[in-house]
Amino acid sequence: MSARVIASRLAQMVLVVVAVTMLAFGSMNFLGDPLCNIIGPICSEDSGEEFAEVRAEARAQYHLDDSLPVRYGRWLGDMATGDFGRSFENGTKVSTTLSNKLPITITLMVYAQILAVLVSIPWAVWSASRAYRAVDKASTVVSFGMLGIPVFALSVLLFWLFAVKWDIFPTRYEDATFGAQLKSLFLPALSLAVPLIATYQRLLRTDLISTLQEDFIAVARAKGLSNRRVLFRHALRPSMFSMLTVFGIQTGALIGGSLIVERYFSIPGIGAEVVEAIIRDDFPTVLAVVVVVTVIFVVVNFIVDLLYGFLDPRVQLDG
Amino acid sequence: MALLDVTNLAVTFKTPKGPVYAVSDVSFAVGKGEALGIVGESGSGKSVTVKSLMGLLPRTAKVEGTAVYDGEDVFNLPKSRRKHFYGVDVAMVFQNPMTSLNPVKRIGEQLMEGMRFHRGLSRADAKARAIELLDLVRIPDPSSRLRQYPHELSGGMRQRVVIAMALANDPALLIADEPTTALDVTVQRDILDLLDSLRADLDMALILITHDLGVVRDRTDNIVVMYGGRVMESAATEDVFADTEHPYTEALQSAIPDMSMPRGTRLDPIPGSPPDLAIAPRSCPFAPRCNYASDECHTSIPALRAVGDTAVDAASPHLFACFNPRGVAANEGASA
Repeated sequence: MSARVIASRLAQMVLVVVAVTMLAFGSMNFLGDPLCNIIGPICSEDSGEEFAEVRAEARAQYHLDDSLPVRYGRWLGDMATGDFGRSFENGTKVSTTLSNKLPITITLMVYAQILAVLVSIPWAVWSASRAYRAVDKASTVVSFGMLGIPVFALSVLLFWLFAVKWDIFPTRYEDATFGAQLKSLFLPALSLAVPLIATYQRLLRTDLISTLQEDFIAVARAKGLSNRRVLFRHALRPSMFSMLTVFGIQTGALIGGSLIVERYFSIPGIGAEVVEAIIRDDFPTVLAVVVVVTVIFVVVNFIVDLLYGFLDPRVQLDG
Repeated sequence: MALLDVTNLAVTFKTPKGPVYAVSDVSFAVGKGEALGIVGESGSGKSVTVKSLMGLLPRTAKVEGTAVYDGEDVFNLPKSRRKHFYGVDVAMVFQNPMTSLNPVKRIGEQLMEGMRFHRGLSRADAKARAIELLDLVRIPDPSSRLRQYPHELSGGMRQRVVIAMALANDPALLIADEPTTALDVTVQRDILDLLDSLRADLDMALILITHDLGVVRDRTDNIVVMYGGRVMESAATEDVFADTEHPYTEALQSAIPDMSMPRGTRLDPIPGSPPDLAIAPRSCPFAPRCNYASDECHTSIPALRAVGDTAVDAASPHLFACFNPRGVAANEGASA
């Protein structure tokens, strides 16, 4: 892939991020008076002269008398230097909150995706090589069940079984060591991974079944290669397109899922934080999370595009 | 003794609509270093025959009969032997080179894979052998080809790669299933000549499957003509052309274009279409399309019988399955 194509792709990504920031910043400022979100009910001019000074101070501090484009430009500029502003709620720096909590959420998401890929690929290969037999039909029923179960119900079930009843995993979040962190994040990650496992398994199985009809698979078999080798070395890679596409898209859905899971498992991640921030109209925190999530989503999908070329050398990425 | 001896092979497919009798009662033999042509049109069972030998049929296929390769029962190989049988003793080249190679793997990787898997060759040794093989199938600049992907090669080049891949472990028997059907006419001859010279140079037996009787004429020792999943005629190649017994073989011959024919001569197509194999055969499968069919052809299946002076135990007996033979046997039949 040429440098020109990469440059053009990067420019597109920046455009997407800018568009999202505009939408987010705009809507946050149109939905109600930001001043009220900062100082509460005393924001109204009717609430008395004694608060006039507070109002003026807040207006000055947050530059609320400037026009929207000017404030947007300032916010964007500050963000570029790593300054996401301060929380309306408690005045702490949003960048501090992000650097404390974001890594936990990212660990959780990566963990969930790794679990999903590790389980779904062997499962899909197993079922595709037994396509339409009784065991394959049974596994289809199982995967539809996994798709159907809501994340919150699954969290409750897993927590009760593995943390409370059998006491295999801790009931609270620990991160003294990376091992402890992985252990306490296992159940939440699994809750997120279960629907992903089923999705990937369905897609990969279908694509594998059609790949296994290809002539080059018969050729590989005629070469006397073992069944395992034919499946994993010849059939798998050309069959991964749909799965990879959905992998990229699911990164967005995972963030939504982590809001629920983090709250249920009391994980101090950004998901739990953003839920609080939305309820309290804490704009700086919400906006910062929106931006970070957008960037992650765009970057992951760019990597997915690059991976298409790795899966199939005939794929040419265009700008 | 023959290298491969196939006796009374029958393949039946189980389908939701009932069984399909794809191959019935097929027997043939290939000697070491010999070339056998299996000729027939689409649906004659020729591909199914070799796929059954290669273990490539789906689970819905029931295979009966025996196939003995060098004293071993091909259909009941012990697991350890089976692991290194296909791709080592017996290899196969397929019809369509455009789809025979894995599109996402480099040529070199696909060539080396078989040697490394079966013989545990090191990467360097396998690479040297891969270059040697590409050279053998006359691909120019072999070492730079190894890094290319299939889509970077033409159809003819790809078929050469497929052939090289099949030769990787020095098979004693190569099966080529219509290896030139998907190629340009100009490339077809090159590939056929290549297979022919490889067979001679490597002392390898060859089963060449084709729908074109002209293709096997100068390149095979024996010919089996199949129709409707059955053997119609089988004999040494020169006998098939010198003394054609079966009307179907005759019809195939008149469909071969010949440069010596006067301008404007029409080739004779065979009227009608191949039989529906879902119906259990009770008569000669060719009878509905045959110009010489008699009442008996529509009511019973003609058994394979030998032309008088070629005894059944001869090296290549001249066998045919017809009540109304066209050649030497016609007079014998009348006198018998």
